[in-house]
Amino acid sequence: MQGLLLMILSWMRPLFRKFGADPDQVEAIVALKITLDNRRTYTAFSQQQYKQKDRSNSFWLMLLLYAFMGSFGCVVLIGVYNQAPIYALSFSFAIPMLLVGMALISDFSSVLLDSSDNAIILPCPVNGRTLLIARITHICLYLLLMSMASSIASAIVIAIRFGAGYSLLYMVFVMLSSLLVIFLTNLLYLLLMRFTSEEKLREAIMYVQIIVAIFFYAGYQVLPRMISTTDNLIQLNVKWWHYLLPPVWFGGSMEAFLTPAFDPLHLSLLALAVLTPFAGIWVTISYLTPLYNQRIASIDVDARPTQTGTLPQHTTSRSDELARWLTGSPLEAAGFALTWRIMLRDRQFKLRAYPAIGYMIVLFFMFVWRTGNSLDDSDTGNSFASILPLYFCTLLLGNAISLLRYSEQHKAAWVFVSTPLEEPGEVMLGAVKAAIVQLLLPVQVVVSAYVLYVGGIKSLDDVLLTTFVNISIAFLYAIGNGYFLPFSSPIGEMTKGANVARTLIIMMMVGLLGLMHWGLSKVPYGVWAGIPVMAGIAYALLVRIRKAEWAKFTVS
Amino acid sequence: MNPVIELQQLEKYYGTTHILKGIDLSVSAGQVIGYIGPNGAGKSTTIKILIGLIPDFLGQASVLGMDVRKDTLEIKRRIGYVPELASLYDSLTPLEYLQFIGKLHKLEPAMVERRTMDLLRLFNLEGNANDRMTTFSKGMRQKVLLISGLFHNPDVVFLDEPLSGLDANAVVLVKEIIRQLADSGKTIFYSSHIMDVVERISDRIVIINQGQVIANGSFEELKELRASGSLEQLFTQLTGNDEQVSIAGAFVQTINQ
Repeated sequence: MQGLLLMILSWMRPLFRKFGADPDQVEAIVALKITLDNRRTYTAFSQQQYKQKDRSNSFWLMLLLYAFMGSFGCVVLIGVYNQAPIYALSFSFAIPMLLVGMALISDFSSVLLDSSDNAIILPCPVNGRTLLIARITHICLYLLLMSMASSIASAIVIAIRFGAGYSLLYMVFVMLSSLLVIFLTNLLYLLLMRFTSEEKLREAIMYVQIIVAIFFYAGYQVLPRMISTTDNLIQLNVKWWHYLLPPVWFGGSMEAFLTPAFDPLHLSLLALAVLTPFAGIWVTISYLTPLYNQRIASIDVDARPTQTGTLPQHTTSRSDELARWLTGSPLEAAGFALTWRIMLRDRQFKLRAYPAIGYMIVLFFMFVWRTGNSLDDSDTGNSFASILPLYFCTLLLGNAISLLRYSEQHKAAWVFVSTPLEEPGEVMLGAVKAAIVQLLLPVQVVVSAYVLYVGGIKSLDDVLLTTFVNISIAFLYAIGNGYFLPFSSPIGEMTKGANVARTLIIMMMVGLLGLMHWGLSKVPYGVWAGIPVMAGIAYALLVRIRKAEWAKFTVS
Repeated sequence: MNPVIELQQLEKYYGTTHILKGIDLSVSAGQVIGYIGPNGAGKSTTIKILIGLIPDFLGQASVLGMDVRKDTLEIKRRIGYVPELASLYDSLTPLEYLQFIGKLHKLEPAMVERRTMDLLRLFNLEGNANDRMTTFSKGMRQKVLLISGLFHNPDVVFLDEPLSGLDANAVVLVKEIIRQLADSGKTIFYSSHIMDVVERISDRIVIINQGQVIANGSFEELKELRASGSLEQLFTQLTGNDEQVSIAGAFVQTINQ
């Protein structure tokens, strides 16, 4: 594969020369980038899949994944084309466009913002133009491969249905659409860069990554259901604003050829589809790229923070305040405050923990959406359906709690060993409490409010019981995966398989507890009786963590 | 003889910060120049201007008789640079990395491989030649960076903290390499915080503070400026921070409270 890419590059040599770049150097840089990309860990889909040693094919695996995700578009194409061809086609364009856009934002943000190029390559006899051309070539090659991979399934469907010629045409439109996406993403980045500093930009990109991940999760949850239930409802009620959506331009153009229909509407869509990518490229090369590179270059200028004359004020911050309220000892408060702050500030942590929370919210809404009507009918308010959402929170806890022990700066954990720390359990308890308050509590409050709103005050017992269940489960997760000090293990140690068995056992316990809860709800005042028992269990687990001794901990 | 490095009224702004305020400097071939100054004095900025990384500056800068603004590529071909913050593509192996740098310098691949292996062997890294550098210690990375800055046989070498992370033996080795490079006619522009190393290897020492040259001469000449025994003492005196003793006293007192 790599050889193939390099062959394509060698065909482009005259073009490079024409642009004033040195073909040998462009080739060397692009080849290097391909190697680096193959050894990189991709963030987009690998929330669970962590660094392994010596990856060397991660990009090709990534492409396979894209092909798989893209095959979703062909399902729609097969299922809906007859009823609403423009919808089906637009949808099949939207998938590669979204995937490419997402890849640009999430994975290539590190490539685009990488200033090590400036530090390593520019001191060599390479002119700026060569580096620029190499960068553009690298990005275009990759996006081309990605869009191809994610639309290959749809292209095959079209080839079977309409013939290979149309399939080729489809691929051309896919390429055009990814060019448009490159332009749009470029615009987005420039806008972000205009208004924010580099640090803020990285922060903003992180949130975009998280939102995109959740969005995709939601899409894959919601869309199949929509298709199965609304099969007959999709009609050709195209509204005017639909034409503002770029995928519709391409879908419409494709429809024009397939039908064939070349009325003014289709012709204008076709014009948009063909002209906007080229216009975008022209604007990118002549206006945006110089601006962009200027910005990138200014990013790594070693602008030192100027010393401000103000003295640090002695104030108790909110996290200290919280820690004081919620913990029993100074040591526990220290663990709480440390964890609280790192969870709020560490980009890597957020990137790993927040999508899981988002997935829960999606699941919750899915649940509400599907059972929303039936819930009102239940006269007891204690039906299984009203208890269930309360248990959603436990699903997100497992991920968050297991993340607490890992950090890129795990080496900083030497402070736990070098200080005369006698009760490591206290620090751990503080950390777990911080996670519960910061991650579980907000979701629990929202879900409880919903349950109380739907079920009325008589659901209060359910809410209370599940609160204690969820807290207990949080402690169980913490203990079950081994005692730990916050952020003290290298992320590399995070392995996919090791904890699955334990997590499964805990999940089964959650199920069991849920069943018991349901059983109790059939007994008068049963749930109320369960509350003190559950609270007792939670407290016992809490004490167990607090009393844990050094022998149970491992600090690398 | 024409100077190898020449700076005239070099000025540089970052935004509104005036980082270099008119540096004048002239260096002739075969010298080791120790370029020292406190943090933020403008050392790295000067070096980056000289190797053509920062084109927008005021004043004149030339290397090997060529204008830094105009003949950037030709200058880059004939200089070597070992950067301060060890940024390298660490998912590569040393061999892959050095071959890449060799390609950018348009060196012949077979020659690069031979020379790279020889140099790695001399640095005791031959066993790691095919390991990815993610696992390397700071010293090992620094050795790779040193090789990458020197293996194309440059006439002028810019070293920004080249000894960081190296163990004592490697420090001796690198110091000796610097000395012998200078003896063979190459010019070394050396920036560091480690005063006794600078004192020992430099033919000339340039001290800058707040973007200005405040001392320039051989160690012997500098010693005549102030009565001080070592470069370290001289440095603290010149850069206006001779209160270190009293600050240290206050520090210890605060701990003892």
